[in-house]
Amino acid sequence: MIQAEGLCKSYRIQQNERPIIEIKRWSVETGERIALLGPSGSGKSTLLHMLGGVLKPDSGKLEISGFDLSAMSEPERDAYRADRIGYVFQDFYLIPSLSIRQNVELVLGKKLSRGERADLLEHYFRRVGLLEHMNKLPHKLSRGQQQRAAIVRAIANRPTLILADEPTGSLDWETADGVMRLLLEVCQENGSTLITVTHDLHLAELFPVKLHISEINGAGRREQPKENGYKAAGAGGVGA
Amino acid sequence: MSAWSYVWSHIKRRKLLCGITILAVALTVALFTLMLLSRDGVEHGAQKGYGPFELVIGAEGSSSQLVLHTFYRIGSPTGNVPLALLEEVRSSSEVEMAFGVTSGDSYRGFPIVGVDPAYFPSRYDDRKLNSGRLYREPGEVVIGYAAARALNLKTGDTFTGSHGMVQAIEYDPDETNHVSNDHDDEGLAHDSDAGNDQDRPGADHHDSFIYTIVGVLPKLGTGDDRAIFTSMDHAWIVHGLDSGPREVTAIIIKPATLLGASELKNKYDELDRVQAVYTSKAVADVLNVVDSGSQLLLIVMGVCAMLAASTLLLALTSSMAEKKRDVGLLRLIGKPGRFIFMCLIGEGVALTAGGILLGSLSGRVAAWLFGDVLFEKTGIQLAPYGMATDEGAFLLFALALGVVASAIPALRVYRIDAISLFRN
Repeated sequence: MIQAEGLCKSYRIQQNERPIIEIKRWSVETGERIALLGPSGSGKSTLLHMLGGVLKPDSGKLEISGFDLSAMSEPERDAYRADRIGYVFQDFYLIPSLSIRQNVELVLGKKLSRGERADLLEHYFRRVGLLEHMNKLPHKLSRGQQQRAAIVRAIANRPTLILADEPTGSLDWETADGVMRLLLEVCQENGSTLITVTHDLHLAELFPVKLHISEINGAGRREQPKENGYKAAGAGGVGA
Repeated sequence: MSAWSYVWSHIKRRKLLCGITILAVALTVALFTLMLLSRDGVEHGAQKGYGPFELVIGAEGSSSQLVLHTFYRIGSPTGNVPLALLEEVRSSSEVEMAFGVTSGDSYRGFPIVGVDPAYFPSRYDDRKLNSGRLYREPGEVVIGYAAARALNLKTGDTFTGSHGMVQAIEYDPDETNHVSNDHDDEGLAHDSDAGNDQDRPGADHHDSFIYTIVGVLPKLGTGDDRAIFTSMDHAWIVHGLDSGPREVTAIIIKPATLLGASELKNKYDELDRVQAVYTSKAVADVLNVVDSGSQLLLIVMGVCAMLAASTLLLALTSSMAEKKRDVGLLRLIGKPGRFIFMCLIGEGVALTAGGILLGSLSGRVAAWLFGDVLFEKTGIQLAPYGMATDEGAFLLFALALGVVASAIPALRVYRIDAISLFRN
């Protein structure tokens, strides 16, 4: 599914190039569900955006489902992202002027007929318990409901890879638990690979695979903050 | 989901601001439309106004004044020329047809013009009267379409004329058949006297002479719509000139040839206290003056357009702040740049197009609603159903202005780094 080799990414900070990602080798199998742990600034989000094709690696090879992202142009990566990647964000980022149904429709391809589209939307909104709310604007829903709608947006196009950046960070514990379980379930149902950045160790326990960024990121290891309280458990698929 | 659905959802969410923006654009476009229709009306009316009569002979004075008064019923006459001159002109082999015109009297602001009834078939071919017939006997008149509407007069009604031009006033049907006994026996042509009115102290009546309407002209689209016509004989009788040396206010001539027109002009221009004028040249001179006024108006309208564009720019700039995160999100979910740019620019284009459509329609509705009143008051005829000259170009320019105003904030947002918007 994911094959990374010699992957590097640096940021220019005050005239200096600061390496943020240095991955020698890393692979992830299709359908794996990984909780990506690590302190702020350790490169988790950068890695997520590289996997999503938003950021291009400075060097190295990043291949996902046979697509070599490191060699693709920006429009090619846009198309790849639209077809194969689902995103879930901490603050949901639903477009406020669109109903949650329209928010989900944004990611659906043009190949679906009107009927297929309606069936698919009904299926997923029923699955997350929002069927009767799907024509509402986001601000009419609770935060938990908004994140569930955002999950539908991430999975509706049946992407091969779902990237979630602290998806429960702005929810209370009970809601966060429900949302995270839902995310894991729908990814399992769809057969999608899930990589979730989280700071919550309790929620991380829900994942079959828990991976600390430092286990794969050499740059992160060199600049490891001292207040690291995470444990690197079950680093399945890590080859670094 | 299409970019249009996204744009429409944004417009619905900001109804008030979008409504104000559309209104600002629509008002500007409606004003432009009215101005362009008016300009066309003036030019078309000016060109159509003198028919085949390429030459006018009248008393010495302003050539524009002579032409405006003779054909467009605007302003006062320059004076009179002897009737004998008409006979001389008619006898010339260079003249295809010529008519004497007398004027100076009016009824409620509408001029009473003395002219041979043969003038109508000569100028308007086989146009039929709306009702009645042409005048035959002294005291009979036919009334122009707009004058009849404004004065609410019809065939069979009678009225008493007053001396000089009097401003049109509110019409009272009860006064139509009033007859008084004053009499005036001055010459035919007099300076206008806007303060005079037959119902006011000092008004100057020809009360012994009652005019009877025997016909109403069809809408001709010329100054004749706003006049009342009678025979020249009657005009002379009214002014007590039936037995003395007779005069006419102007002689309108259709020359047989262009060369003949030139010869006639040169010949009669040399006469003492007489001028011969090329109608088209005098009209062109007047249009040039009107055009200068239009240019000034265009500048004012241009400022209006800039204000409307600024309103659009402000509205879009404020909406772009809301759209930043939308754009970031659309990029992250892999929407192509073309789709995103359409989402950004679409709102401005839609508001501009909506404003243009509404403004163009409003301008036409206004032209349709007030066209008759404007024509009765000024003689400018508006044609609301067609496109005015340059209107298409103006509407395209307005749309282009809207696209540019939309593109400026859109480009700023489009260049924003999507990732920076999603840093927790």
